Amino acid sequence: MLYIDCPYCGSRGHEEFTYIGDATKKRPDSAEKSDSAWFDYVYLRDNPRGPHLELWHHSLGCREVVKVLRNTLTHEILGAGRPGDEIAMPDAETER
Amino acid sequence: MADPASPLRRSALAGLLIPGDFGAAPFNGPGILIAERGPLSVVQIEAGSDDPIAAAGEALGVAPSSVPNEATGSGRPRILGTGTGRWIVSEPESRDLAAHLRAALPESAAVTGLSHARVCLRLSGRDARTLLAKGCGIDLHPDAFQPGTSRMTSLFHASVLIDCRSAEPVYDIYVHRSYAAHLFEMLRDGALEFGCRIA
Ligand SMILES: [Zn+2]
Repeated sequence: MLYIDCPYCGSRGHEEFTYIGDATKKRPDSAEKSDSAWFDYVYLRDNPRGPHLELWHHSLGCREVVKVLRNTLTHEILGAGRPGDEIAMPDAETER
Repeated sequence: MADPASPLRRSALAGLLIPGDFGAAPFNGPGILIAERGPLSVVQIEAGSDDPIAAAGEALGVAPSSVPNEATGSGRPRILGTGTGRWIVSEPESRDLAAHLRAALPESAAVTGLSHARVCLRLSGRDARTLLAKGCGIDLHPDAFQPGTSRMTSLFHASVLIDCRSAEPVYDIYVHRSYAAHLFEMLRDGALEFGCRIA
């Protein structure tokens, strides 16, 4: 069981959440005309081994979107906050 | 003004919720009491660009709390936090609560009448916590889930809002109307081993 610290509800089991996806992708400006910029935004994702910023939907709780820092190797939840929050990445040195 | 005695208001549990004592022979209970509360007025407030707390407090006599999961009011009305800038107001049906709030709150607030869309079950008795734990993943310890707070969570796979009314314990469980029969049957069946009184 993973526990995610929802900013509204507090600590909850991961089965209350729905995974949305990568939180590091930034939507291009709507005036952006380059196909490659949109292709990158819609389709291209890294598959990092280690800490990764993700969006999870607290679908069986407050129904808010939560930004989660999760280690994709160990599944450890390293931090959580609102989508606009800055969540500090752990130092590469201390990681693993 | 809504008519509180309208024959159109029919319980989602009509024909299913049969009063009596069930389970646990010999019956040394009841360890669990289940009753339906109602009819209730249930209205959701969602804040827009203006903070609706002060206006809601004036209109209701008790203000919603901005503290997550904190409930206010003793029942007439009871105000439960369900998310950031979102509350459920619940009271025994006596007036058109949605219209009352719509008139009082800032234009930007969304007021949604849910009276006919929610069923409220009151769960109490010495084994109520154990029964909830059969179908719910939240921390139910009395130190963690205290009276005066509520939780949005899932119970037997149904999305619910659980209001802790008292440490006895007494819980009010709000569930979507179409899941009420499922939830009631799961609670009743789960309660049989403790001795269950349905009122
Ligand atoms: Zn939440």
